[in-house]
Amino acid sequence: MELGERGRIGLVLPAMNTVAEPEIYSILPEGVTAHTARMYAPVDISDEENFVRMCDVGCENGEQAAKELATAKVDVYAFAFTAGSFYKGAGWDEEIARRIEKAGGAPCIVTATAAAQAIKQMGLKRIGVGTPYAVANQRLKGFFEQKGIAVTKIEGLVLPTAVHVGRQPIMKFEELVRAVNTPDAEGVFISCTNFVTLSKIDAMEREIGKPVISSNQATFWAALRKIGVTDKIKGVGRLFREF
Amino acid sequence: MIGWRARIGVLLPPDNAVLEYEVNRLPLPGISFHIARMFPVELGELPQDAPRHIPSLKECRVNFIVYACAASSFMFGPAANDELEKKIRELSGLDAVTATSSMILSLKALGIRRVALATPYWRELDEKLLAYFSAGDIEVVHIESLQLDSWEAMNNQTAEAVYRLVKKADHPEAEGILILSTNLPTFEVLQVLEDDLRKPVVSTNQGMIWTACRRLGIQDRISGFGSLWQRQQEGRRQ
Repeated sequence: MELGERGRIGLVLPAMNTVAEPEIYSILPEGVTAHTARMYAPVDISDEENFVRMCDVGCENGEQAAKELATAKVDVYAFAFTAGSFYKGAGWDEEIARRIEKAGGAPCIVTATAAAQAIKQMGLKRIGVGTPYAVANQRLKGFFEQKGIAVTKIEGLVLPTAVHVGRQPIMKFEELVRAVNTPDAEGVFISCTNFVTLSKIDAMEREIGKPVISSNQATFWAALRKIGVTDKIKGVGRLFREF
Repeated sequence: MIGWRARIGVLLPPDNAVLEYEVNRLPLPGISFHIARMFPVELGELPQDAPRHIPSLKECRVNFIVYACAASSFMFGPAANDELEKKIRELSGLDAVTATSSMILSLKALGIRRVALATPYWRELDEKLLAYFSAGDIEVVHIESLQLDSWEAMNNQTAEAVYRLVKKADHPEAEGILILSTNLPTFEVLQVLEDDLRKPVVSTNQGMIWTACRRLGIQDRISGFGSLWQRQQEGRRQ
């Protein structure tokens, strides 16, 4: 089989992200490859102004990244930037997808859209949400509510920069899941593609007895399903096993 | 933490559809790879685009940078290759190596003085490659090429095609074989080629990542990816 014969995924990634590339390669089935282009963006996320600046600059560089990936003949773009896809509210996520599709000439899935889609497809109406952010939690809560998903609790790690996010140990993911798992939540979503989650999703689902969804998991799932790869990949949660 | 031993930044030609798959299946605990795609696809212009991506790789806090294009680092000759490497080092403040430098370093680490070359290239690029070698002290005893005229075709080659190419490239006088290009898949066949030919086989992606690791003081002797990985070497400045 040629490399990537079943499909090539183009990751459009914020420049400072050090997690998405190793995580996607830890789960890709044979015959699918992933290829990355980076969107330069400042890394300070300590206050509202800087958080928005990171999103603005990153998103502005998205189309250039798509053009770079287009020459590798990717079959789908994965705009793997949670904050950049929810920060302007519902509708902006779809606008980003349209821009990338136009610049790159192939379909695009976007992390925030993919997360909402995964949550809905699993039949969850109320979720607990954990993030690494200091200031963007109300924006993310608002995004989910606009998509018809209630948020029972949202809590952030209050990290000062996006570089810090990429350095968190997997234990932080486990702690966040426990912290936002309220009794009335039907599942948990953990935000940010630069936050490690994949290796412990199964374990946390077993521990809390509810579905756990993360940014990278939902992004990779949506990208694979978009190119018709329906393998039930084991070890990365109910989403991949059943949907 | 991902990349807890080292993070390696990769300056990649945009069309390359092979390197990311290959490097991510190397069994190197704690090593992660982070890609920046150069642009446009015109070969000779890639070195000029490399500086634009240094800030992105610096944001990843990478510890080392590889310039992952063989052709655009050998086609202008040894002086231009050295200059490119120096420029990446200066701009990043990090140690760095080009694909071309790493291939030469890898051949030398294995003590190969007479080499056979296997390439995907067309004639003009092969001639530039031979000119590069003629300025150094490794003798090329034979060259065999796929004569592909598009990058897309190179990215779609199978490991089996590479196996056949290398078998044809072998020569009685060659002490080892070098497979060119970061967009030819080689990892799957490096070990079987060495076993069948009973001589060392080096490829661009293998040599480049081996060089980066040894310079970083990463001394893993991984098996199944060619005898080069059994060689340990002193690290360099960090």
